[in-house]
Amino acid sequence: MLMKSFLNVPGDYEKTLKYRQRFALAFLALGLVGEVCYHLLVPQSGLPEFAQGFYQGAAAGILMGALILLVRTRYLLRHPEARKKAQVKEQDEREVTIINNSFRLAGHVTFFGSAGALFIVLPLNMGAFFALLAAMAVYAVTFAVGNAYYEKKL
Amino acid sequence: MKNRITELRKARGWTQGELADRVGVTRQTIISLESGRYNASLLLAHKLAACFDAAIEDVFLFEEDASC
Repeated sequence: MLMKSFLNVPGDYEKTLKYRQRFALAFLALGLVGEVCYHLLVPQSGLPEFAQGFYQGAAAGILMGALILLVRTRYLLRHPEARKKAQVKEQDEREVTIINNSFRLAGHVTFFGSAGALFIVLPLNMGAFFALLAAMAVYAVTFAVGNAYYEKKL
Repeated sequence: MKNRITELRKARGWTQGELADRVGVTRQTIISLESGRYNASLLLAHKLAACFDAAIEDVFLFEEDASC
């Protein structure tokens, strides 16, 4: 759902699907690179077990996600009836409103939750503190840039 | 904002699914509109009014004073 909302060509669903297909192929390649690296490089790297697991999980996740997106997109491109249903479901304004509201809620919870977590993390781990602070800074800068962009656009 | 979608739809003998297909939304959106949980955008309001061959203000009833 998150990916779908980003990979969108307004007003042309077929173009959107073709765009998604290319994106899925690129991600498939990325996942394959991750898997190859995991099998060839990670065993000799001396990385801790947790990091190795994360590496494999991320590569496999990207690969599977890309495969599912690719199969689904190709199916929709070849079946006009299913494509029409998917388009209505995806571009339905209530659905879009629900997704946008969910994004907003997730953003608020993440930002204010992170602000609260800073107080807990600071005495425990400085690395985690700065990582959290950086994530909040990225959020704030993205908000400011987005605000300036939409002020001009709308 | 109240609306007369249920009344106008039933007068034409359409199901919620048929109306949804006509205006290009999901059946769930029609259900939400009819129950008053969701307010249509101007574009959807226009499509619905055109579908019922009525003016927007005949389909959607503004509760607040909309005069300028």
